[in-house]
This record gives sequence, structure tokens and C-alpha cells, in this order.
Amino acid sequence: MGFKSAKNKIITCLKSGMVYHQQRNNLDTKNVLAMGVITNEHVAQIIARSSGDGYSSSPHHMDSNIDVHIVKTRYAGFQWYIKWYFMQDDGVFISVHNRSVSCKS
Amino acid sequence: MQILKVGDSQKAACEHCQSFQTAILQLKDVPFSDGNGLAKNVLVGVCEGCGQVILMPHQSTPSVKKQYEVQRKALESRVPAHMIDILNLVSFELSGGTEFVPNLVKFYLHSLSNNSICSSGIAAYLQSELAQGKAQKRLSLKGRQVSEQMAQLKAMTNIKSTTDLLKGIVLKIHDDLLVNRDENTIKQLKSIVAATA
Repeated sequence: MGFKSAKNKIITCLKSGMVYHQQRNNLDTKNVLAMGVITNEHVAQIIARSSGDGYSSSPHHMDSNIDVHIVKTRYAGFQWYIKWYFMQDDGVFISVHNRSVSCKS
Repeated sequence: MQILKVGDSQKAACEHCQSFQTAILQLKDVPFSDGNGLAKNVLVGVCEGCGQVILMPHQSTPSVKKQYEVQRKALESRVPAHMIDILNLVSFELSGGTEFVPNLVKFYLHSLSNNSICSSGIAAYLQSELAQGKAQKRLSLKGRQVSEQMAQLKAMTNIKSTTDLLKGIVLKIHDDLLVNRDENTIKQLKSIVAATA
């Protein structure tokens, strides 16, 4: 699956609410989408604005038939790190993290 | 919009089992990863193999968000008395009373954390003369987004202490509004004073 397909599919998942968040027996407070700090719509915009330069994918270490997709992009003054895989028609987010980019004073 | 029910299932990666497992959706109490309490009775996916929580559906986010915010207490710090005077003076100049002070600080916290006001100089204020003094008065902030924005701003400025960050914010307010008289910001704040009077 190439960047465009992965991008379009995850945006569809976000807009239809067909998303889950991976957890490790607790609720990951760094995942700003899972914690409701930002909305599905916002993440869809971030991914829509990203380019192929910030995209990578690799097989999941637990199942090489499943690709893990990563988008690193800059949007609205923040550096974003978004990582997910697809389970049939659903998107499962592993990370939705951000950090601020320094501004000029 | 997809809505899931207790008993529904989804395959997902389980870090404990180190394989993809079926997760059954159940209502559970789940702790927050940062140690800030737990979310009660939340719909989550539980691994059939090991019983651990491995998945959270989107529809659980509003409840999780609300419970996370409630468990955070008001932010309080003790600062030098002159810092409270600075905030009172600024409020006075904006035609607000001392009761406007929390809104003034929250306006700056919000604007700094989302980059609409630049935060890169905040740490430098802590070296100034005005940053010194005995911590004799209390500054208290309440609000749904206060803790998140403080955490965001700590990461942005690399200031780890809540008290130091609040001091930096107060001195930024002093610089912008009493020393340099930033007209744009003054105008925005005067509108907020008028709207909340």
C-alpha cells in the first residue's frame, strides 16, 4: 500500500469514526487523539497536509503481513508523529504525538 | 459513525502476548499511563489471550477525556508577592478587577501553549531581578485545559517546575503589557474583560 492509499484510507477511517487506539493495559495519556485533546477532524487535516517526504511504512514486528504507517509532519506550529496500522477497514493508532516547534521572537 | 457494543470484538496487537489477538469489548476501570488516577467503566478491548487492555475505541474518548480532566486538581503555586501585584496592576489597566487575574494568566497560558504568543524567551525571565523574592502569595488556576496547557508549555520551554513556569508567564505579561504595551494583546484582553464583566 503506497502513501496516497494509506493516507486516503486513514482519513476515511477518521471521518467515519472507524478508529481504535492501541493500549498497553493502561490509557496512553500521550496519545492526544485518544485523550480527546484534538479531534478526528484535526488529525485528518494534519495527515491530509502531509507529504510523502514525511511518510514511511514497515511490516509490523508481530505480523509481517500488516504494515505500520508513520507520518512525521509539521502543522500549525507543531511537529507531529502519527503511527497506525489497518485492521480490515478500521484504523488502529499506535501513536498520535506532538511537540512544539520553536517560533521566532 | 461506527458505534460498538459490549461483546463486539476486533483483532489487535497485544504487547504482552507479542501477537495479534482478538480483543473483546468490555466495560473496565483502566489506569492512566501517567499515574493520574483511572478512568472508570470505559469501553475497551480486552485481549482474549491474556486479559490485558489492548484497545480503546474512538467512542470512549469523550468519557476518558472528562474523567482525566476531573481527576486533575487546581494548579497552585506560591510566588513572590510583587508578582501578584503585577497581575493585579495589569488587570487594573485593562479595566478588570483582581478577579480577572486568573483569566489573564489563562489567556497567556493558552496563547503561549498554542504558539500564538511566542514562548521562546520565557526561560530567560527567570534570571531577572523580578523573578527573585520570597514565595509569599498564592496563585491558583482552575480550568479544563490548564493542566494540559501547562504540560505543553513545559515541554516547549523546557521549564520543569510549575512555579518557575508560572513566574515566567507573569514576567512575560509584565513585559508585554506594562513595559512594551503590546496594543494587539491589550485590545484582545480588554474585549475579554468586557465580555466577562
